[in-house]
Amino acid sequence: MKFTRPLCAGHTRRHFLFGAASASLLGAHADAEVTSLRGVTPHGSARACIFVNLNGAASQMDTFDPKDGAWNPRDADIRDYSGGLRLSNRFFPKLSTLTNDLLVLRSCASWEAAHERGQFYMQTAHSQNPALAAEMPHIGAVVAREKGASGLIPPFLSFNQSNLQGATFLGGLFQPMMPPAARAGISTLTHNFFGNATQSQERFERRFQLLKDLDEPIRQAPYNDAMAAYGSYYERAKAMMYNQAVDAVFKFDATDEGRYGNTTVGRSLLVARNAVRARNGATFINVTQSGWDTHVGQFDTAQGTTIYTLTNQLDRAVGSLVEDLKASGDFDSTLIVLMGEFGRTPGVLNSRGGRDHYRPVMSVALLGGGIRGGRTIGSSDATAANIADYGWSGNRAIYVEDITATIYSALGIDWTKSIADTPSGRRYDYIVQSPEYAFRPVNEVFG
Amino acid sequence: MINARYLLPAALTANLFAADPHCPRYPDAVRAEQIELLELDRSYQAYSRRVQFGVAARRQETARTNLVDQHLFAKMAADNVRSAPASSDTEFLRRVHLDLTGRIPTPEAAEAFLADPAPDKRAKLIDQLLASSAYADQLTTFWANKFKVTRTHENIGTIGRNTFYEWLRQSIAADRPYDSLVREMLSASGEVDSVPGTQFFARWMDPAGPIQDSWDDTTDKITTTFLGFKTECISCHNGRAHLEKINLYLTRRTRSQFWRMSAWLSRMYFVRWSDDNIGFRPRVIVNDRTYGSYTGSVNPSNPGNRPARLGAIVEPEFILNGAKPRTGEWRRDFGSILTADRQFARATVNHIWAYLFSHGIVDPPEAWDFERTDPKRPPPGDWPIQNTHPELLEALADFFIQNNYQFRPLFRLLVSSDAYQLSSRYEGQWQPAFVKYFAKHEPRRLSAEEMYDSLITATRTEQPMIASGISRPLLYANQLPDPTEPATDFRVTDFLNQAGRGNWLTIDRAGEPSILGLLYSMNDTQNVNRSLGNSTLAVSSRNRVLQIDSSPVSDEEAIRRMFFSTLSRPPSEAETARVLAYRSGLRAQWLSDLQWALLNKLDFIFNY
Repeated sequence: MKFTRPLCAGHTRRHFLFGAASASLLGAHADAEVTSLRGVTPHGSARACIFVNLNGAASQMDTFDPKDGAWNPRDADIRDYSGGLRLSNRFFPKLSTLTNDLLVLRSCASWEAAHERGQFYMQTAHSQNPALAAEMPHIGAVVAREKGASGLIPPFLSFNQSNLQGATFLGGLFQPMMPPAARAGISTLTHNFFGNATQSQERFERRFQLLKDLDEPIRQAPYNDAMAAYGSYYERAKAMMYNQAVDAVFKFDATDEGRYGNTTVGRSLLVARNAVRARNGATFINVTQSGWDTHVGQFDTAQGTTIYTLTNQLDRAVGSLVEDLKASGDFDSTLIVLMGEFGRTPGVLNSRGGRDHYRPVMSVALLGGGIRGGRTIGSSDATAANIADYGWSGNRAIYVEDITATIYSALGIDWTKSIADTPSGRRYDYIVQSPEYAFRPVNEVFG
Repeated sequence: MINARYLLPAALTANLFAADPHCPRYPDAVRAEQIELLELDRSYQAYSRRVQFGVAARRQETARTNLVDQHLFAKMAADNVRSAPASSDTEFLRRVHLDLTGRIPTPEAAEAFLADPAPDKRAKLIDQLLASSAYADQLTTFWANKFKVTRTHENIGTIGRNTFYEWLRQSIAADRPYDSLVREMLSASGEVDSVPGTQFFARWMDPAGPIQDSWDDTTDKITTTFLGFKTECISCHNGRAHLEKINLYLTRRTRSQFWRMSAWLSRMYFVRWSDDNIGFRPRVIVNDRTYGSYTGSVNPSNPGNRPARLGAIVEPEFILNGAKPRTGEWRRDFGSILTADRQFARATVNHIWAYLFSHGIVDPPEAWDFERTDPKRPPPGDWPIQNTHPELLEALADFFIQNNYQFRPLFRLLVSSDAYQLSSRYEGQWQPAFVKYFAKHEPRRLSAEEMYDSLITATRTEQPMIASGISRPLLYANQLPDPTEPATDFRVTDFLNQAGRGNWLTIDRAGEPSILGLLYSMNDTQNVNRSLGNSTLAVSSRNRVLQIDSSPVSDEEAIRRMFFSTLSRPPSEAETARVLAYRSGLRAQWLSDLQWALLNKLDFIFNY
């Protein structure tokens, strides 16, 4: 953004901060120069990603890397499947029937052991550097920027995440849209306050025309660029309204809601399913399941949230999602990722019957999107305390940067790209270019 | 005197820096925003020079009494820059209400002001607004947004947050001298739940990293907020070979100088535990040792986010003037030295100036470059002077100091000036160079809080809100202690989050438009209900549409009132005609349509 264009009527500091939207609806830096480091060839097997954020940090031992030991509840019913997979039939009854599609990375590790920092890392694939935190975009915004805003649905959707990192400097249409996950859908797609839908729409059209007419002089001669930018968004928002296809994405029926478990995570994954199947612009969908911070009484059924409820809710929702996407033929082009911000303490439970924060080992589960299921990559030792076998060409623990690079690669995105023109002026690398770690996709997942 | 022992050899710094995966080297393309602001300063300077040496006749400047005007208008006259016309009463009324109280005037207040024939009615209005509790709310929100003490942070609970907020608000309502407030904050020690000011340190403490990261983060926050310059860059590496295109002053500052600044905090430590009895609530104590100093030694298994530090012992030294500790109480000494430094007053008045005028005199107000602030020592090359009105800024700093660091006199001085009261519409050819002449008023989008507070004022749909632990009745968003509130009222939090208030932690305040945001403002039920002429809806049972509709007035008068209550101005003839042509059905119906349209109008959404 150099000073080459004439200014219409002066401008404010805010123009520089936000107002680049005036140039284009595609966000402040849609046309910014992007450079690729090595000219790699991404795998490109998926067109969308559903990212299930196990907020609070899921215990590897109680999810995808179970170990035999006295810490397991009596009814855990841990079973072995081909490819080295193990699952508790009590926790994951549905996924137990889908192990041919499931891939578990067991040699993952986290950089962080505090929730806020860990969540930040997982959402952005970058550390929470105080100098840069505010401009670091969510990986979903990067995906949105790469895949473009091609349909009527905004490319980046997010559910149930209160501390979601947004698009930051990528701006505009790559901002996450955070719609409700409810049977009724998005209430603001219509203006149904006056009789039936047709009457209401007519009334809305009249209102909108009145607004436009009254605003015409000021839109023609805005007092500055920020005002001009704001005025340019009305029509785009209106385009999403009263559109059956858009509306249907955010709605679902009671039968499906029940099939997905009548839970928050279930409803969110239902909308995610709709969005993926609609092929109308959505490319990255974050769905957060909260409650995984199981420090206390994690098998104590007297408590509201336990490993039982968490795993069962997740199992039912993800299992139904996999079934539905398979039925509609979208499974192979939709990458599903299940991960939390770090692992939990291994072996025996703590003195309060739970598990605490743990960095050295965590598990990540992948399904669909062209990965090869029915397998595990890497392994941990007998108590899931240390990584026993890295199981991939990196020959070190798999970090969130590698996972993200894998997601980017699956989606056909060159993960070595970077953007020079950032607000801070510091180059933004899609994946941090570290000579020490050489972060890269875990290509073994596609194998 | 710099002890060479403490200085990292440049090569070593570069090496360490290159190995750090989290802080890529500054590229050739530097801060886009800063470049544009530089460009403004540069164009201002070039314009001024051109005129000074050119043929343009200088205008005779009329005598002005306000010191702001004496400087600004003299400069405009000297350079033959024409200012925008003076603001109309309606323009001034709305602007000063929004800036001083965070919301538009009620139509009654607006009518009374416009009808008042007194020549000094603007001064009277300013005094009245400055005396209001809404002013205290608004200025508290302004500073709270800089300190960012929120219970979303893992060190701060509801009780600690409220302790801080109530202390801040009472201080500001009483117009406590700002230097004394800052001194108390910087030396505060004790439990975060009960001792005001400790929350500032708890907020910038990094619970996961080494203590040095907490000292360093807090030091950057202190220099940024109180002295007007960010030091985060030199908290990792020397300025040289990094900041040449960003900040000349910082290129001559080293990481070890930063450590000496950070060392003022190095006797401070935290005790942190979870109070199991009350649901893992964080408890933190901020305290100081009577011995010790800054050391670079960190636990190698938890080195934090910054490149390795030297293991040397570093003693405190104030980065601007070399002052050293006088006692063993380093934080207390730090607060005294910092608030006594003239830069503290300069940076503070510049913050307030930037709020009222949309650009700082030094811009951006958190990136002072002291190599470019003194016109008697001009910077090399084509660097512009950053301080475009140095004499004015010094005069304002003097004024602030002479008025005992109190904000009310400063605000009165600034908003009483003819410069503040210029129109935002410029007659003639506007040029970028005029921005730093402050030749017209620069509009800004309403903040999330201002938008909510203006919405409920316009539509007459105020509803009580609850913020946990605060017993005062709350009606307005600028009365909320942090962005988690009102936690149980999603009608309000949805609105504020949609409007971009951020969370003071990971999500920045945002003002850019978004599709969902506009869908929300146009179609959200709660929003639209405020403008419906339907008395069965609780939210609108006494709302503006019903109030106006039930008045025995003509349609023209009803339209006029509707414009007045929402836009604080009467409609133009064309606007009246358009609305008259729009009428159909019941009056409550089309008035409701009009209310909806006005609430989505650009001149409602902006403070102009």
